[in-house]
Amino acid sequence: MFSVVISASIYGVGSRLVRVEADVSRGIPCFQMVGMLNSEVREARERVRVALKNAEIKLAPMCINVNLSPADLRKEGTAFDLPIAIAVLIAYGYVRQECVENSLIVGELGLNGEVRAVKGILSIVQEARRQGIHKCIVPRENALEGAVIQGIDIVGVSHIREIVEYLNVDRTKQSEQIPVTRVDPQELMQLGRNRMLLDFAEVNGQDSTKRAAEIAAAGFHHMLMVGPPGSGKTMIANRIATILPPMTVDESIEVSTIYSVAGMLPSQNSFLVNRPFLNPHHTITQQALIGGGRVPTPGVVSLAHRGVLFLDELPEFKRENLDLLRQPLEDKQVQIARNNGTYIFPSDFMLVGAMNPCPCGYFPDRQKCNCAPYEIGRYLGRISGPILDRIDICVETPSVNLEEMSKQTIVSSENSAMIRKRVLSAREIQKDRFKGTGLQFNSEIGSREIQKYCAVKAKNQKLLFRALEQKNITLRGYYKILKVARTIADIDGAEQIEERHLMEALYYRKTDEKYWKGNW
Amino acid sequence: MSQKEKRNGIMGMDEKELPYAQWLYQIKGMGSKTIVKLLGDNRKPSEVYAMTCGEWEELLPQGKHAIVKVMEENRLHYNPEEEYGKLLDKGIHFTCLGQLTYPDMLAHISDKPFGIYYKGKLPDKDKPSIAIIGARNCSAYGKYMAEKLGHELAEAGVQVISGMARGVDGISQYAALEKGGYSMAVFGCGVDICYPAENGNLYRMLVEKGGICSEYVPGTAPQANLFPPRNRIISGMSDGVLVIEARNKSGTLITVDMALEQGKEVFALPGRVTEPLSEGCNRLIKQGACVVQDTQDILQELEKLHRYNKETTEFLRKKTREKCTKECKCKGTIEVETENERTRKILQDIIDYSPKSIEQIRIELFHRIGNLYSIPEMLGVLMEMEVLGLIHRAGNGCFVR
Repeated sequence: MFSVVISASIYGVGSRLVRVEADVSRGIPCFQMVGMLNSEVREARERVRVALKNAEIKLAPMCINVNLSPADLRKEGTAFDLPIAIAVLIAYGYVRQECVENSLIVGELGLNGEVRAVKGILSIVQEARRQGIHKCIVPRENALEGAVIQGIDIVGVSHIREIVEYLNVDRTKQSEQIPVTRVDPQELMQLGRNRMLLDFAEVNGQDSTKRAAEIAAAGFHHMLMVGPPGSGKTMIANRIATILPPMTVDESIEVSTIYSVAGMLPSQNSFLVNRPFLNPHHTITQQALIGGGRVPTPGVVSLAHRGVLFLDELPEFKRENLDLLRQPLEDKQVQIARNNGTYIFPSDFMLVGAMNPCPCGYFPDRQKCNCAPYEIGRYLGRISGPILDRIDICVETPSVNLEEMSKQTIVSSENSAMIRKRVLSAREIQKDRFKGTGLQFNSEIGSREIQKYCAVKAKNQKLLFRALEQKNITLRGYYKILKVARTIADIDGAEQIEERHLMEALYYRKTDEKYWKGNW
Repeated sequence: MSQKEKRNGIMGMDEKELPYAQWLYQIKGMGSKTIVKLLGDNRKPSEVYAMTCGEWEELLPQGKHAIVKVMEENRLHYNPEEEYGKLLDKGIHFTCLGQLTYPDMLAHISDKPFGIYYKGKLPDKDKPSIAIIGARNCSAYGKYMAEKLGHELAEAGVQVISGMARGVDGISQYAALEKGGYSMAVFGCGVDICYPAENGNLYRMLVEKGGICSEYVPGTAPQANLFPPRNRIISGMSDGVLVIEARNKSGTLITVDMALEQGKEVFALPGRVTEPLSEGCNRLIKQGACVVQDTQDILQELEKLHRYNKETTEFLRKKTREKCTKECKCKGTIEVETENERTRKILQDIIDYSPKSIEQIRIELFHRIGNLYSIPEMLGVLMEMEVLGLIHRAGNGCFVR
């Protein structure tokens, strides 16, 4: 008898539905599987056979053929165990074909018949909903994760016998057997959000760097901090995620899908509530950074999607690794080509870099730094021009001495909530401005749109032009100043870009002009 | 001065003798003293060239006979005229003791080199010259003062001698050339090698508007042991040595020792007592060096040495005074100051020559006016001042005047 069960396979961060077909007929007893299977899928045969035996479901010795269709698509992962088992059971007549109508089944089987968690449930459930499927039967451990997607029923099962019983009861009574898992994503977000461990109020001094972080967060500008060791660069970077606007449910699902595909979703959380913050060590490999492997998995740049990618000690990263960031910074996605297709991973992150100005870290304080100019030049040269070009904000972090710290008590440090409020209002303004244009943030304004969004009155530009002439700032540098000034004006709530906004933006530009244009 | 007259222990010689003098000088192992021995008794270099080995041995003391073999070998494959022509083609000149072109001042020091190679022009004998030397890794203060003094000395017609090194040397020389003055760089390698390479632009400017000289044969690579000896030439060519910034055990102080040995005036720029980079200078002042607060201090000292014309000094003094009063007048004309301008004025007071971070400046401003500027406001004002050239970035997020 012939049977069909719908399942799915992960491709990049997306999924494709796969029909699992089984046929049982007379002949020499065998269990054959076809359909361009990876070895882990081929191994499903042994797992299914033993699991069914241990679940005390007896299969008569017959010729079993299983096909995974479309047959020209490579099948990967362990999620096909359960659908293969069900398809075989339908073919044997243990379960009726109509019981799995309009349902999608995924899950890994243990030899004892237990159903185990698989990767990428969020992605699979989303695809199922898009294709008009009503119900997803998933491993119980994954049920909460899948239930985040609204408009489709998620049923969690933990044993092969449980699912067989479930499928065999009357449709109307199924929900009594195993209730559909329901989750309110809004509520989950609220619950998760209260757990903020870091705060900007803990950073003493460095007010100008904090301000730079605020602007970067408001306009989603990439940012680079240059300063001596111990000046608080890492501390500030760690807290940037706390001033970014909280994720919306859609964003959260988007990010969680990537984590789900990578199998990195924390087991107690059904999905991610806080923006990702990743700080890979500088010894990271190319595959880990950008994504890769024979079957590509998302890299750090994708895991930082909609969040912050913090690269500490930037020049210590291999130059070729840093240059790999060019594509994700430009296209906001990563393409990985393999012989069975091109995988696309989203990677729209905010790059925050931190570095010392020289190998010893103390330049230009010549009392401490004895680095020769060529050493400094070589150190700075590890960061290529194209990467620098994409960084809008560059600041120096002066070293803080303890004596001054005690004097600074008159300046109370702002906490993250206060800063976030300003960031949020600036984001709202941007949302209105870019309605229907496909743009989201000021940092995305291209040279074509710059006149439209960043127009400045001539009288306000006088000083800026003087500065541009003095310091030989290029046209690209000028555009960056305009974009950052636009964000500053948004934080200020100003309609027009004023001179003071331009002057402040100039400050964030000059540092890299100084270090990388040989002015030191 | 007639050619026949004895110049510096060596008889004056014709320009035609230069190729042969150069031949003698470029021989490996040949020292200036040996050459003087060979040229004693009014002998011309070309005559020395034509001598036999036996005659050379007669002229030289017992211990120096090893050089004869080297000379003989060198003579076999070296055509003095041709090689000299090649040097000229490269724009490299040669001068030696006994030549009119050999710098007078240099001829008076005890261990003067027999010859020097140079590109561009040699300094003018009639004009005063000052060596400006100092740390390679100088501070913002050192940079500023080297530039300022370089400018002003050049404007006063003083020639700046230095070593074209990184930091103070290069900055002061560049400043002098910028103002149309003359500057000479003394190299510790061949004059055809630009060391350090990053001063390539300055090298070209020096060849064009100033000069570069070296006692080493062209093509000599920079080696650490060659640099200290060239310091005696730097001080030897100058009327005085000005030290901008030096650590306690700085190489700069070698030049100062040489200058003192040669009886030259030593000028030192005072600095903060706590600043390691000024330690050397402050110590020199303690030992009696001339304190330099502005260019006038140097010019007055040069006047005492009869190396400088008083009238010019007076003229300059007047000019600076005028400039001061003009500035005062300008300030006076602004009757209504905006708040921004008032803040700027206070800030100019707060920001001095030691780098201060934005946070420091902000707190100090608060103590002055009792009004705490927000970071954006603060940045706005500071950048405005930078654009107007009132303050500068010192790196590390700090500002200096």
